[in-house]
Amino acid sequence: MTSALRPSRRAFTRLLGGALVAGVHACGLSGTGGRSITFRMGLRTAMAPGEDTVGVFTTDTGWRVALTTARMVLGPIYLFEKASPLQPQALLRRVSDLLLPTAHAHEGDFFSGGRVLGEWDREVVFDLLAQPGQARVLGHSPGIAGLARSLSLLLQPPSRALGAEGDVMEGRTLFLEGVATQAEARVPFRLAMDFPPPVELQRVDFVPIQADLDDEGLFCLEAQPHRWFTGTRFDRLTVPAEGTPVDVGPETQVHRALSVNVRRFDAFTGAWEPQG
Amino acid sequence: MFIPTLVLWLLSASPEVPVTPPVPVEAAPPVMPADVPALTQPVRVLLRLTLDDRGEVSRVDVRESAGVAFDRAAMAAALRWRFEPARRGEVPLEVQVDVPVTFEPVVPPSDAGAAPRAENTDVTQPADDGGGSSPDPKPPSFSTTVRGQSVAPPPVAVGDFHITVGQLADVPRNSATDLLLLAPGVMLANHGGEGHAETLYLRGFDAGEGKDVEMRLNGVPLNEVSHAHGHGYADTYFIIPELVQSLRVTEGPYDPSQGDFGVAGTVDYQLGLERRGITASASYGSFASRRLSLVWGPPESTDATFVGVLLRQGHGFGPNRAYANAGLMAQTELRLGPETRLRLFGASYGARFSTAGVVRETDVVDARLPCDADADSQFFCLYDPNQGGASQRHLASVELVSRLERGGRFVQQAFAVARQMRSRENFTGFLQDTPPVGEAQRGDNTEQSYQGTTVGLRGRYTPGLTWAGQPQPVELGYVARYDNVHTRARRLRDKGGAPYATIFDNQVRTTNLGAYLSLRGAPMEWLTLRGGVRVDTFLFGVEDLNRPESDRQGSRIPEESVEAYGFFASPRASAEVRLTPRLTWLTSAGLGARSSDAAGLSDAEFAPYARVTSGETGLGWHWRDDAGDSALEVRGAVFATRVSQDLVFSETTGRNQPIGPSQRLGAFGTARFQWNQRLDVQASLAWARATLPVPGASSWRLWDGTVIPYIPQVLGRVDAAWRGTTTVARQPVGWSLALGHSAIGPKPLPLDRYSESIFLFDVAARARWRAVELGVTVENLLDARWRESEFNYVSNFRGPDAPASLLATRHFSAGAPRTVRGTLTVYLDLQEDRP
Repeated sequence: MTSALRPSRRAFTRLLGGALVAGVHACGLSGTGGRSITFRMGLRTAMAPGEDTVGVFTTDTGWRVALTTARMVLGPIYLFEKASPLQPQALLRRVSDLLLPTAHAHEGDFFSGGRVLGEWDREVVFDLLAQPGQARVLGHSPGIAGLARSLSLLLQPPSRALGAEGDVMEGRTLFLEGVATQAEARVPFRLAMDFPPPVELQRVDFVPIQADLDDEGLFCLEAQPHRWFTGTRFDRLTVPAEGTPVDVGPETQVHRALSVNVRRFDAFTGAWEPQG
Repeated sequence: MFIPTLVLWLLSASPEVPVTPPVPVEAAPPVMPADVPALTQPVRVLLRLTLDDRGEVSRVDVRESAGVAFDRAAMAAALRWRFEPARRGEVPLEVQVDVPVTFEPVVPPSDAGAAPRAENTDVTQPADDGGGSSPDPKPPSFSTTVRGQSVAPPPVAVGDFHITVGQLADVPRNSATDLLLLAPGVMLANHGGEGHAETLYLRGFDAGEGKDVEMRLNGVPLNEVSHAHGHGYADTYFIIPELVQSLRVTEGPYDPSQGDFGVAGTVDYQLGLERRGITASASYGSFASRRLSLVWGPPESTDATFVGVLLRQGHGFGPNRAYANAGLMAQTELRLGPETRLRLFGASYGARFSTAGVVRETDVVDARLPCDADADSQFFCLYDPNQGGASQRHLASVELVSRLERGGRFVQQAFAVARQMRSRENFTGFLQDTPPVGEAQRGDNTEQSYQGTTVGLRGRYTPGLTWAGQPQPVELGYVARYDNVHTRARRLRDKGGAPYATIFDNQVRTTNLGAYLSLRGAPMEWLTLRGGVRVDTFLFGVEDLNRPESDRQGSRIPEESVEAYGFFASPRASAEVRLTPRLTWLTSAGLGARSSDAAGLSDAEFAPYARVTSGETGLGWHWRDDAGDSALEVRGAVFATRVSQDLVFSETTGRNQPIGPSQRLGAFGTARFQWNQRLDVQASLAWARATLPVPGASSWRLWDGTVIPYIPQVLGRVDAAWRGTTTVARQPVGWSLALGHSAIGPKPLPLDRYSESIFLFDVAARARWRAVELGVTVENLLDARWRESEFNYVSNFRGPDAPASLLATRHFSAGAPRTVRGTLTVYLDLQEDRP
């Protein structure tokens, strides 16, 4: 095709198409149900209740933790239309469910959260301390307008698709460094964590959210590192005499607690910010 | 070209009882002989026809010759004419008629000295008093003049089209399937490559590859029950387009003869070869496409005797789209007596093809596909090269046609079909597999295979009665069909293509027995009523070969038998009101049904059916000039349809799955204008809205509900062909120009979206000198980038280890870009074979 012909062809096609589209659209939208949207997906680190600094919190075991490094590989992120079964419910509903439990057929899906209303279908390396209080906007994401009531995400080693961005993780999924203090005790620590396949051990499922997805809004996935340290017993770590950070290995209670907590439904949350 | 005017001089009437002259019922025009010198003056052949008391032409003699070529052309046509017999009172007579057939040069307005061509002319001559082989006693004589072309049976609905391909064969078409575009409101799409049946959209139905349209070829059913790719799969790729003489497209279930799958309508291809002799054609074009066809029919036989061979091969218009296929079709018509003909028909076909499948729109936009990064390379790229298929078909049919007293007819047909097909398609990438622990996804490539045989009988009986002024008011018909097929779907490994899981594996045996009664009457001169009822029964026997090897009670044989029986009755009726001699108002209503996919049946159940209720009303207007040179037919109607159980495509299984009831509302208009055997134009515009009804809502609320996606709502089509002759270097050269244009309005897509409109223009030009013709066709003249099929679903083509996208997104299969082909055709008329 010559370049001279192409504009005339396009103009002609558009002219005809415009006429047909105008005719059809005179009757309204296509009527197939639902509405597609484009919204922004972002990441943010939540501050612990009562704190004003990201990465500083007190655990339920009384340790004051200050993170100096916190990076992780996360994604994809899926927003589902169905509510999380772990969502707090009213007492009456809980009693009702206890007496008349709902039968759940296996849907054969990745997650039985129903239809996916929005997603970020790639991995990303997230530095939890880089933009305190600010959302890191990953980009635009396609979606379907409607109320998303749960989310799911994956934690996995950096793939080759991440390229140089993943080099900083040195093949690990989660890297944390900081200091835990309690009274006179001071435990500097360093921790790397892996989440190899199968995918069932990489998923963070059933995260309750309430996000009324619509065009151009921002959905922010919030990491809640203060919840990751629930039940951690830093007093069980042995601090080197020279005061260098403890390498928290998988045999330790702190590692095991983090391994479980970081995949719990309350390790993350999400917030929707309509287009301002 | 030529339209004959038949001037009949019949022997004079008896003085006692008035004699009714014979009336032509079928009088197809003769073909202008090829390779004859340019005419400078009219040429006339005078034929003497002997018409028996059934209206058949029992003998043809040449009384005045105009040369071998013209004699043969006129005789060949006359042998196919059929008349209402002459009668003395109510008694049919055998008579002789002399018919002059005149071939006359035409002087175009712009060039008074050239362009000889055949033309009809009115010639009136004194009555001939017979002679030669006149019967004894000699019939009475008188004279009359009759004009007209072949007459199709009256339509049962406004949307019942008897389409003679004729001059519109000049419009570029890739296969016989494309001929369906001659019916209004038809759209074709193909996501499976050259050899995969086309998806047919008709009247707001996504008829899949045949699930909602009954397909027949010379009466032989083509829909394949419980096909692995979809119940009712009907591949018409094997039909040689040059041999398609006409097709009847009945939109809606309004004719009692329509059977299983006739939900959106019925398509019946009628084969024939009008041009006698040998026609050899070779084409070469874009993407190394090669096409070789050879068709022939002995001059002394009718157009129902022919042989055709077709070879096609090419690289396809993008990667992984190569194809190669070969087909043969042959038919012989034998006269077993003056009243009986036997037609033996056979076809063989083999094809292999690759297909690119679908691609994700987002990957094309972001240039993520494994092809060059430019837009065109990405548009025509693919994910999985292990897609394609192969197909074989062997078909045989024997049809016995007997004419009875007073124009009655008795037709018996037996047929057998052997079929094998295998296709591999990957719609979702790496999503469906549940791999063993520690292993990655093995891929979603799905192999569907189907093989088996079909045997059957069909027939109809039309007694030669006359009732309420209507000849042949009753027709009885039947069909008996037995299918024994093995249908299976398996998942194939992405690496190596080995099967790793079976989705279903069934040995299916079905018996379909159907019968119908059709009545026609004219209680008033201006009113004709037609009605009838069809009854069908089905017996299903399914051997499920894919059951588990153990269950809760222990080990078991991994097979299970299922049997089911079903019955339905479908009344159909229409009323035709002649408002004026040219204007008709036709209203039709009927029930139809689609049998169950045997794969979804339970044991001993009363097999459920998808039942369609349909109605339409509209007007038809026709005009023909006195000389019969020009004609215009215009039709338009509105229709409504409701289906009890519809099917839509499921990307998960790669076949159609039930979705519950659906409904349609629509309208269409169409017109065909033929002028002087030079110009033939047909245009149509159709609109349809298909919805899923609101649960619990009234059946009359046809507008309400969720719109069914992917089904085009507005379809337009224009076919036009112009033929003429000119003089080049003092040599007559025939030429033709043709245009085909499809306009597909925005298709509704999920999430309240529309697709882009599609406008395709195909053109062809041909020039013929003596027996040699050169032609060039250009399909998709404007080189539009268009999406032939579009879907919206979840897929993962990033790889077995990559995190999957779980959000439904748009996928499409690319339509063909501009394609140019050159064709050399040689016509050999074998004039030495004088009839």
